[in-house]
Amino acid sequence: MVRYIGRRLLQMIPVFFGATLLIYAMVFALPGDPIQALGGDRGLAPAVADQIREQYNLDKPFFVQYLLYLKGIVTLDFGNSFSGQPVMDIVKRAFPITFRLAMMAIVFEAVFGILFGLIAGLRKGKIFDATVLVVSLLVIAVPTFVIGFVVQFFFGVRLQWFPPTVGGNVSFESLLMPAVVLGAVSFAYVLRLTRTSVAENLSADYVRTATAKGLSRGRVVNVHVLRNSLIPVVTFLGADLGALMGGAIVTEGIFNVAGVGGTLYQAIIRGEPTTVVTFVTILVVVYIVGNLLVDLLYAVLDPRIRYA
Amino acid sequence: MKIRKLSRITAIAAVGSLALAACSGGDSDGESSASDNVFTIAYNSDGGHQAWVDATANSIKNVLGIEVEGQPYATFAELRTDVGDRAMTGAFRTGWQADYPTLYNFLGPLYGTGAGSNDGDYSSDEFDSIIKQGLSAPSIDEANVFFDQAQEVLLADLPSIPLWYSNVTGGYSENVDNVEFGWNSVPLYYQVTKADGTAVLANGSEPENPLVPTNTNEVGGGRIIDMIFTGLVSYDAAGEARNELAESITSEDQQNWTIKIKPGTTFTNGEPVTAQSFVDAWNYGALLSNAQKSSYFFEEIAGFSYEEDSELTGLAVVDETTFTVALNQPNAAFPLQLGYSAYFPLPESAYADMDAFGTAPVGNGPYQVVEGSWQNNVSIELEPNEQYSGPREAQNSGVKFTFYESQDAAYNDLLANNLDILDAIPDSAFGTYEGELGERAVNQPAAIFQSFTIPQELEHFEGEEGVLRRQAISLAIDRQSITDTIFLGTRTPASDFTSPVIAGWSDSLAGSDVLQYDPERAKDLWEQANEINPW
Repeated sequence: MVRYIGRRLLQMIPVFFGATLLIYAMVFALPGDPIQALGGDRGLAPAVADQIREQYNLDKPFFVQYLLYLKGIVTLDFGNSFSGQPVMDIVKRAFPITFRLAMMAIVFEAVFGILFGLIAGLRKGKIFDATVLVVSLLVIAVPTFVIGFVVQFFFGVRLQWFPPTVGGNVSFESLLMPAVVLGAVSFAYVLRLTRTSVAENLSADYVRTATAKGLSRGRVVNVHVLRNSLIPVVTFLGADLGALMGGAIVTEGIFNVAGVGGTLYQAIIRGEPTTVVTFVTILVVVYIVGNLLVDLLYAVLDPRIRYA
Repeated sequence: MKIRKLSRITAIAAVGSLALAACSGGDSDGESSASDNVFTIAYNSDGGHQAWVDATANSIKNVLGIEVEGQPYATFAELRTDVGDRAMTGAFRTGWQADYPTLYNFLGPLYGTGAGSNDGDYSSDEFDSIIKQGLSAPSIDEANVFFDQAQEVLLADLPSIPLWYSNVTGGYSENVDNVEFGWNSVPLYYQVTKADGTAVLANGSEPENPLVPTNTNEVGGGRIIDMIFTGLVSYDAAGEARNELAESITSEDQQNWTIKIKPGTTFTNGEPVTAQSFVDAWNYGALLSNAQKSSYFFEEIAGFSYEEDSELTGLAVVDETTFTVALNQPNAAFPLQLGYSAYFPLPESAYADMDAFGTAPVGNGPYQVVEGSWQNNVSIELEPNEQYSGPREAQNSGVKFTFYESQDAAYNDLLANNLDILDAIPDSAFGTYEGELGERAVNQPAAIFQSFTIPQELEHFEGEEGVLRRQAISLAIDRQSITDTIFLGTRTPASDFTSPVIAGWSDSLAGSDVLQYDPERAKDLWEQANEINPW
């Protein structure tokens, strides 16, 4: 088990270098000169633009730039953004907020998705099942920003139950609305996955055996049906964590959350290699760790899976 | 000043047009009709420009019967790169927000031969010489007469096609009073009063640079700099300059200026503000290797150089409260410029580490940054500076700027009274905000001019043929209906190259009829151009 985890962690090293190189190359290949944009409609004086380019090593060839970046990483210096802030400071500020938001979204979609999915699966074809299926279909079909604006307008502006935006106030209460909106689509997927999986397993031989043995309905459902049904759901949730952290641009924009998505988006627009590469690399690492956790969870859920 | 108005939602649409632009490639969709000439107007699709560009293109197309298309660039950086490299193959959108309230600021930097922002490479001896006469005029009123004449030259040549002036749109909550927006579309935060005595909540955007006056060229940092520093003069709501630190700014020849400052004022760290504080700050801002984004404001001072590090030899300290400025050429508007942030003084303690200073600036303005309150991308808080005395004394207990990436979010906060002052209504609420805010809605002209530039070298747009075509295109744009339908009255059709909030502005310049919608005359002029050289 420990060796397995160690091996998986070692695999992260080549992935890390590969990811930074690839992302650096992609940012480098973005069309347009980011320094030109710093002057706005007025444009920068060419001499000043040259000076700034030199400051950020943008006047050097690609591999020199990349090696300078790597050299910085070794000394834990991730470079500066165009506004002069150390990238590490931006990371320290943005990631905890987004992580909190993503965690709340994951908990929301896992708890409610699995609960509703389980009930729907057990009562397949009944009125609850039908309602839940229609509602989840709607949630999947309506774009996130529509859900976001509607929720914000009704609960934030009209009823004023929650603050309409988050801003600097990252309390549980102010993050609740964005977390629900962020988790809404995945909630619907989790629900449908659980429902299908539960319904299928209900008619499996081992469930019939368990029932025939005289086990109580509760024990059959909880231990035999649910546990086996969760494998595809856990896979989905693990992959979703990475997606929620990097892909929350729309939700973060609507609720003014100063998180990873928005910062990354702005950095891409500005063509700022240091910020983009550092952020994406961290997201890649989050993804890998998330997948590792999922793989380990399999063993817990399904006794037949063992890692050596 | 840089205008960055970027809504996330429109920005996401931009990703779509990136793919679109990639597909359409260089050539024009393979159409090969008799006249395959297409007149294009380039724009950056991350700034919400598509709707008006398309409407303008349609207006020209319908009147002149030629192919006109918007040409989207995915990002502002891409557009600026091609403009900077002179790689444009058609017209491109241009805009100008005044740095200081003078007519000259809209003209010299944009259309003077070889001027820094003359992106279309316009060059007219007549224009240049009239501008020069204006700058040498003994007073600003007399100068404005020349500047109007210079505009008449532009109206005949149309180096860029004026479209409209942007209004400032905004609103405020029920919790605040005495809200007024200035000529530069920034609210006068210092005079806002709030009944419950708490800090005024305002929208802002993350400063793109450390808070150093000469390195701040965008509105997010600019409004904070303007509040925590005080220069020689400041502007009132109407853009009228009044003395702040200056006791007098005088010159015999409009070229050699003597500036006397008030004695006894200090920075918040106790350092006195002296003539040296100005001279050192200006030298710092101008020095090439400091790479300050606003260094061009010192171009006209003797000794300035883009080639190498050089001292501003035109600056000389006479005594503690007096210094002199020698310009390379006369500039009657010089005293009016001095309220712009690039000309603010700096304390001596700044120079040791300017980046560190920029994160915790020490100023001399009506406000100071609350220590440790600047959370990047989130918010910054300002509190009144008790030592300040002047025309901009704070009437509230502080101002807290919350940074918004999307104006829609800020607008919803305003509706929920979570925000007191909003200085930009999102496009999506143009139709409803006046109803929702009632008397608390603001919609007034601002010093922002919008246009598209047709490069001087563009085929068919040179010489006599070019002038006819430029005029025809201008006459073919129905500015009134575009501002009514697309902008819902938040833009005003242009009648010159400046802005109605600037003193000396006139709506009846000779030749300004070329900015009216006149399809018959447009077609006529286009035909005349075709006789010289078929389209």
